[in-house]
Amino acid sequence: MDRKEMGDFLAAGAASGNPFWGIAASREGDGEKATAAGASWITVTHGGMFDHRIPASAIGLLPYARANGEVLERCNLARVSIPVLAGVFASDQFTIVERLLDEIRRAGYHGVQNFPSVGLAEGRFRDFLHETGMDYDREVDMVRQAREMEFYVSALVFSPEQAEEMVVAGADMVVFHPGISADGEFRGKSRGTLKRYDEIIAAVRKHSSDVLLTRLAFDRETLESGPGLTSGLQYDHNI
Amino acid sequence: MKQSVRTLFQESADSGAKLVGAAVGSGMAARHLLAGGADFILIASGGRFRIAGVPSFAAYTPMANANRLIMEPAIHEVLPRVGGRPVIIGLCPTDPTYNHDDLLRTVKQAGIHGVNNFPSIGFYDGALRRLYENAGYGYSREVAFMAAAAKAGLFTLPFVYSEDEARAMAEAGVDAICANLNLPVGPPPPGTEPVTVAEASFAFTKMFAAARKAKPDMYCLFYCAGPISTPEDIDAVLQNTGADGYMGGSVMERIPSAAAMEEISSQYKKIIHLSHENKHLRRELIRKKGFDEIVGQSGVMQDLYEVVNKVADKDVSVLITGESGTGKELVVKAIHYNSRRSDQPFIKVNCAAIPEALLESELFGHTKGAFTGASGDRMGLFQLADKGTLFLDEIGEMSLGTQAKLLRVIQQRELQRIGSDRVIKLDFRLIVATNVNLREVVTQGRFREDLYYRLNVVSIHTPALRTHKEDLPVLVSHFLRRIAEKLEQPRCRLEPEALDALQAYDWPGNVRELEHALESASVLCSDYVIQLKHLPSAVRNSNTTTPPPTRDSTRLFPDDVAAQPEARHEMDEAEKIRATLATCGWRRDQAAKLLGISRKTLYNKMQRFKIGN
Repeated sequence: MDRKEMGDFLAAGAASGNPFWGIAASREGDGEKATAAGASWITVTHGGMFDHRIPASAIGLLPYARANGEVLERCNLARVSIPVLAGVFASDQFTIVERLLDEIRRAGYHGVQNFPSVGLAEGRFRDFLHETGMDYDREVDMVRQAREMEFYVSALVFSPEQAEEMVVAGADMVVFHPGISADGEFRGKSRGTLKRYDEIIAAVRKHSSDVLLTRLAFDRETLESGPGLTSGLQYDHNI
Repeated sequence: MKQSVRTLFQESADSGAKLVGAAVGSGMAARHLLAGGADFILIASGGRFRIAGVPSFAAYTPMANANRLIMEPAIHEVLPRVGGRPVIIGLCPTDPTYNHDDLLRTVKQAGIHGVNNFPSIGFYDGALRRLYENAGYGYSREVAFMAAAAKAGLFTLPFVYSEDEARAMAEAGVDAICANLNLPVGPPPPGTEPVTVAEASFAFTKMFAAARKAKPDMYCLFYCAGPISTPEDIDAVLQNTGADGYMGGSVMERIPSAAAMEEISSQYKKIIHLSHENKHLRRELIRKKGFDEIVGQSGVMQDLYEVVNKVADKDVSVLITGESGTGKELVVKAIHYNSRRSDQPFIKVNCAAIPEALLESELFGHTKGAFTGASGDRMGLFQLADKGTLFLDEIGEMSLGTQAKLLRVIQQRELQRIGSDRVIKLDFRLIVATNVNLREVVTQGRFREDLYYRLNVVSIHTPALRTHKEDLPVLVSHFLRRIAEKLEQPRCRLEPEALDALQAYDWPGNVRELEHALESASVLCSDYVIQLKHLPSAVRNSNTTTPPPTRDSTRLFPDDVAAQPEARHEMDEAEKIRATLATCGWRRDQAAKLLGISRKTLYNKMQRFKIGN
């Protein structure tokens, strides 16, 4: 499935009026399970191999594995009929992004997403990332590079500014991560989250009317009962 | 394991010395830092990132599994390098892919002395930290790991980032703590307030106090980062906190290594650059040297320079003609030192000075026994000039037989030594000079026409001094300066009368005669003022000088020096005798025979010319 086919497929899904959602996949069989459950896409990431109690975007940031290596090893998950995105840790200092994207293409993936994203970092961690050039800017560069290489690109964003940067860089889909609350909980479908999501939408629509807009969710109940939203969701945990 | 490290720590505390721990990423760093005085080693994944050229804090990101990354180097790279000195391994206790018991068993079996909690969840702060804590990936897991390690008999030295963590670790029974402020080495990140040494000391003091309250015999160390980057900073913190020691990572490993490597590669680059620059300067000096000796600014000299410049870097034979004393050899040298062969040999042969019987042997070499007196193999001058320039002066004096052999060598660029069949390939540039009209000599049958054309690819004529007298002032100035340097005395001046005489004289001996006249006058004059009376009589009487009669119709360029004809002849004879003696290894019998004189005559001539004194 090339970039255009993916784009058409996902756009049709988003416009269909049916639940439009994607989910993380890490284990053998996750692709088929997700397809059977009605997912419109999957993002292959290593986060799901550790612990379902914690969002994949958070546990995926810890030094428990080489994120990019694990995604390449899970390329058999890409052999499904729905679009499969490879989660790319763009701050990996042991890789040249262009070469990594080549490997991802050879592994059979149709698209990429900046997952896990250092946009989730804050405080000292974020300072260190910025100081050493491992910050969110690298993820924007990765999106730009992937778009030049004709990948379908889904961009995880945390702010309207990042959303704009990603759209300008060529993202086909924007996934809004609502972040972590002060008491350490994944921000769910609160009023504050939805307000920020509106801001994200406005920022994206300034530049494009075609870019698909989705929100990251960690609400398993929502999944079981159906997302109930006309704009999409990506679930920050394994199927 | 634990006890040996505790003994080290205790001995250090008892003696009042401070413990120094080095956080490394390689066996090489471990070896050298211990040799420099470090007391123990911490091997952790941050060090591996560091030596890979990646910031050590990248150990906190999903670029590798921290435990898997460090176990192999700790066991196989560091342990064998430290000669039994304490090694503590940094492990990630919150890693869900490892079981604590399995980790500790591996560490103990490998012979590693102790454990530390790197990378620690204590590095994270804010909402993300809280999420990790809530999900069970928090500091308490690290405390549990340390407690298990202590029970397993391993030395425990965790990082603590707050008073609560210090207290928790102390209560878990660890042997020592290392207070860490999680700061990068060097300036603070933009937008953050810099932490001062005093503030760092204060924070450490509080952590130490919290730990010692729970466990009074706790060894307390601090990690060097942020504002603590120099020995003076470390000393200040030690004084202010009463710490038992400290640990360094980048300050001991990356920073000094990076600086040293940059310095050494810069020095090596300079050497190469200097070497190239030296070669370039040397070439320039050689070129300058080649022209320095030729003096004159007149039109004829400018023409000469132009021709020399044009032929210098072309690998063609050159024939230089001109009266004796006009600087033919200087022109040859200028050509050689401005050619591509300037770094190669420059060999000069005076064909008139070497007896004919010896000239072939001199030029082409001989083998042992090739003729009477050939006691060993000898390389000829053509071979000595390989890759360089061979200058044959007074080529017109060469016999026809030698001319034939010379022609063959020039044509085929190879030779055979006298007495040998072996063909030797040659690479040389040939320049020849003569003060006779070689074309006339060819017409008379004394010089081979084919050889003449081979030699005369480019012809340069050195002008007689009388044809460019406008160069006299600059020549006089040049020689007086050189003479002053040679005699180590102030430079002489010429009275106007003396200068007039120099101008009026026709200088049949050309520039060489001028130089000798000035040298003689410099020696004879008083108070460094050359008067007319100090000049040679021929010059003094220059208004009466007439050109000497030519001895031979072929000599269109008279080589007699009008002032001292006998001296010229004697100079040639002395040179001939010296050359013959040198060829014969200073055997007088042999030399006399070759010169066609008696041994006694040779002895007398040697006395007269002061040869062999």
